[in-house]
Amino acid sequence: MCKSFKKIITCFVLIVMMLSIFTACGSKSDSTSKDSKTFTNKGNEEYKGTINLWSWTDEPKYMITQFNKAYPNINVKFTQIGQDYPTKMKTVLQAGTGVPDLFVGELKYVKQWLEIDAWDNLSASPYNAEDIAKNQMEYVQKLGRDKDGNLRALSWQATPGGFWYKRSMAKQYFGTDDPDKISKMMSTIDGLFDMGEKLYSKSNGKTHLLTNWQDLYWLQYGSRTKPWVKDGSLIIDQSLMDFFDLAKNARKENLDAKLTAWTPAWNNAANNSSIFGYILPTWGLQYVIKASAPKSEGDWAIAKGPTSYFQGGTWMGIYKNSKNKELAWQFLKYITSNEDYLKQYVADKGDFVSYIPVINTISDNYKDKFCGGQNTYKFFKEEASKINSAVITKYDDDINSLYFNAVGLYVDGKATKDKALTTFKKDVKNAYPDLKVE
Amino acid sequence: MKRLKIKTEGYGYFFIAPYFITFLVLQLYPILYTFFISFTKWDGMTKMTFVGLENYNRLIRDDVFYKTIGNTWIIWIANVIPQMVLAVLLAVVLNYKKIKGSDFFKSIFYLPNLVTATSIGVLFSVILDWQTGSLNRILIAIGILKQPVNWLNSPFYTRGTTSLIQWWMWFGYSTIIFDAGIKAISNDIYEAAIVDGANRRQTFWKITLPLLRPTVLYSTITSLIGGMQIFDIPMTLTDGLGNPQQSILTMVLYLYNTSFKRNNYGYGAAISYGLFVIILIASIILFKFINRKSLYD
Amino acid sequence: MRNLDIITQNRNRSWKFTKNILTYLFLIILSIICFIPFYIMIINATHSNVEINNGLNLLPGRYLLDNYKRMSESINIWKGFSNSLLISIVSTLLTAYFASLTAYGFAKFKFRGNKVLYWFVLSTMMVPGQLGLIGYFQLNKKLGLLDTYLPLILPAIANGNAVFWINSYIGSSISNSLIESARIDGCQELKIFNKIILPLIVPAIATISIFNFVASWNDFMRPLVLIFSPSKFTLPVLVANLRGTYTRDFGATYLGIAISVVPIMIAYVFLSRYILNGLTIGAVKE
Repeated sequence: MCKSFKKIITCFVLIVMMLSIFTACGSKSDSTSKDSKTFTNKGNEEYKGTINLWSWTDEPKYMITQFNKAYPNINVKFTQIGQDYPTKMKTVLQAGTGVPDLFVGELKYVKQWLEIDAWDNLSASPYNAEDIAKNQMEYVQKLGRDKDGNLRALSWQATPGGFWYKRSMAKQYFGTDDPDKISKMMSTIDGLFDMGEKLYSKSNGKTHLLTNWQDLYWLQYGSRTKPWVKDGSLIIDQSLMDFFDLAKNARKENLDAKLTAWTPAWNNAANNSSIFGYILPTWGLQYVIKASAPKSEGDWAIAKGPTSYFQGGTWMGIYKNSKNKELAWQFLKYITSNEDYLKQYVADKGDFVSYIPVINTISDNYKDKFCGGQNTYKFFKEEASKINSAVITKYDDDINSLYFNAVGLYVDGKATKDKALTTFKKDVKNAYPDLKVE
Repeated sequence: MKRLKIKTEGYGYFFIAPYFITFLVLQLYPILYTFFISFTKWDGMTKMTFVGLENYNRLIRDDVFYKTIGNTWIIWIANVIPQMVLAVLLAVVLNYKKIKGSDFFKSIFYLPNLVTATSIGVLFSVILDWQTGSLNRILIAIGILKQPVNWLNSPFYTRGTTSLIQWWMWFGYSTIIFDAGIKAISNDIYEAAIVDGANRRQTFWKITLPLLRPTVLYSTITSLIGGMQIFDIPMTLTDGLGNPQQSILTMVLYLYNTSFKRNNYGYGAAISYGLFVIILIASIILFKFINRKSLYD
Repeated sequence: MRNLDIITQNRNRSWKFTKNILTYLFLIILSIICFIPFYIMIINATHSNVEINNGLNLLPGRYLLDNYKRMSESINIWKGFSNSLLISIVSTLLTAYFASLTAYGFAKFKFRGNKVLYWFVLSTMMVPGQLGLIGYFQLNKKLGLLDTYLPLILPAIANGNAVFWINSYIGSSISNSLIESARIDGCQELKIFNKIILPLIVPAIATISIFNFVASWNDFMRPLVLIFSPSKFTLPVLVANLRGTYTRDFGATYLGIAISVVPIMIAYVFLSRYILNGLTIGAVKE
């Protein structure tokens, strides 16, 4: 009687132990790659192999299709991590297992990853990416550098912003839909507010200038001279302090339609007459306006607001311990600097690329059909040159959210400005106890 | 006879062995690992530095942590009381011989438990949207409201919504458990009571409820453990930071944001153990409270 | 006198009648409340993103195939479905058997430390899962089990909740004399468990199995962190990845959710009959 039981238990323990040994052995297939310091020069068909790419959006799908036309024998396996992408990346990087060869970082967390040495140094050989970088818009390639100034990630796009507006509404309320004239009207904050008030009263309260007061934030954010954090201390730039009252006034003068960003309702506002337009960067057209209101082609245009700004953007780098660096580099090189590819990409997707030679070729004659033939490329080229990216820090995304929360309290009348500020500072201190906050 | 008894008692160890082996190998390590991290400062990617009790020191002084405790408790209590009351009621009602289709109802009530909490959180955030949400639209159409209400900007309504969603998801589960509990009560007791002249109300209060007490205890404590760890709904209902005014920042949401959003794994681990202590104390108190009375059977 | 009797009887009867109607009404309203969000999600699965953005849709739309096409381009939902199914079924079976084994050990064997160890099992129920995740990840990395299903399945052997539930049931429904007589007849311990005990506790096992299956089916965080290959993703992870660029593809997402939930709903509605019958049988037996 004892025996059968003991047998079973011992069997069980043995199985568990065997499993662990088995699988531990299995994972030892960690053969060190021949870490070649130089890449061989081959014909494109000769590059053979499989590489892994992770992103949080589905943009790479297009890139891979085009890439395979030039490099048919490199199999790029794409995985889209739509939810909690940074969490997944952090876990995987920290474990050092299962990390893809290529992965992206959105502006929000690019700075974090630059610090932790996750991406390989592209400035060094055999990449020599400086050759590419010197042809890119300055602020874009700057953001891909680590604290020693080495390139770690490249971006194929630049994301300056403006005010996307509906032409039909412009004609109806302002008598013109010409982007230059609209830009003149909104060239100052006061001018913008005037437009908002006019819009609201003429439409009997049915139309607002903006989706929410947070839209104005990006204008202030882009005109900062000081970053959120310097030398371990929190700094509130004056333009951001001004934002408190700016936001409150926007609400008071009925400039905002009270739609929360990224909700279905906010997306849908492109379809109806509740708002004049969105303050969004280049990608706003593709991914917000076109996606939500595909039938409104020709009814849009972009104007310059009181300040130039940029928002978002995606950078891609090669994993430091990747075993397929050569193949990965072919991909990265292709999507950031291959002129034929980039021209096709612009034609198919309408995105604003950061490769200057291509911009120069396109920008003189570019006509965006969706925007009634406006030369949006020329517009963005000019805006992009005014961007100051030196004030971006790794804390920005989180601190921006906390700031919105505090300003929101003031706008909704739930707190005085002082109390809101105190709340903000307390929140920042709580989130990042190592920062000095007065 | 005695030798047989001693031999058989020892068998107990064999029966519980697989559980403990699995537990020690797969679950103890993570628990200890977390405990270890709570004494360090670590951002998940660079080096770990040992900082002793600093995290716990901060925890005790952290008023955001205390706020999260309050939030979690409020949300749970507003959920568990209606839930248990309704579940007991339903279990009793569904056991009346005259109510047909009790199986059908039980199945329907359990449905909400099948859906992932995150999808419901997203769904409700859309329904409760200020300008365009369906709730406002319906209420204005009926005439109850004149202006749309910003439900998710009010701590009271946001917490209420969270409790409501929790209630919706779990009352069917509790009903099934209480139903099993009621069915386990022998009919003889009821028959004896009816012979003695008891009516329905008396059998409910004097027989059903007391005999159901262990089941209610089990349900309440499991609900407590789950309720203390509530995370999915608070995260997806609003901005992921527990707003408005951090009213739905629950303990686990705070833990998650600290560790994964702000890369402060050491402090997150300390919060995790703070949470454990709270659950432990609350369970013991709850157990003593509900159990004490049942000893008088 | 007789008339008064009849009147009171009638009044009682009509009062009982209204009470019945009210009770049914109450139950039906509750049922509708339970079902509405599902209804909304399933309806939304047949609408385009533009329509979903535009507001509440109460009737089915015409974009089911469209959403299905887009969803299939992004994820392999049927593979995810079978992955989830495999993991959930195996986990449930493991828990069912081993929790019963463990509960039986605690319930019917008075060995030294029984109470202490049992309290230990109960206390493990209180450990919050979120941060143990990192340690669990580390552990599996060391064991080389990342990107496999084992880390998602093996813990099912040690499910404290199930042990407690089954233990209570065993305590109240299995008499010691039953076991004694089996021993006297010369039966081995394990055989007693497999042949006699298990069949008797099926109702409890069935109940706890439904709950475990659902919990395993909806588990999101652990597969997200432990699995890397898309072909091994489970349903919740796949559905969460249904994003276009920058925004969620709502139509496809609702369709994915519907595919995750509807089969379970159907299976539950059919199986629940057996399970609930089992519960009744087990109880009436006393």
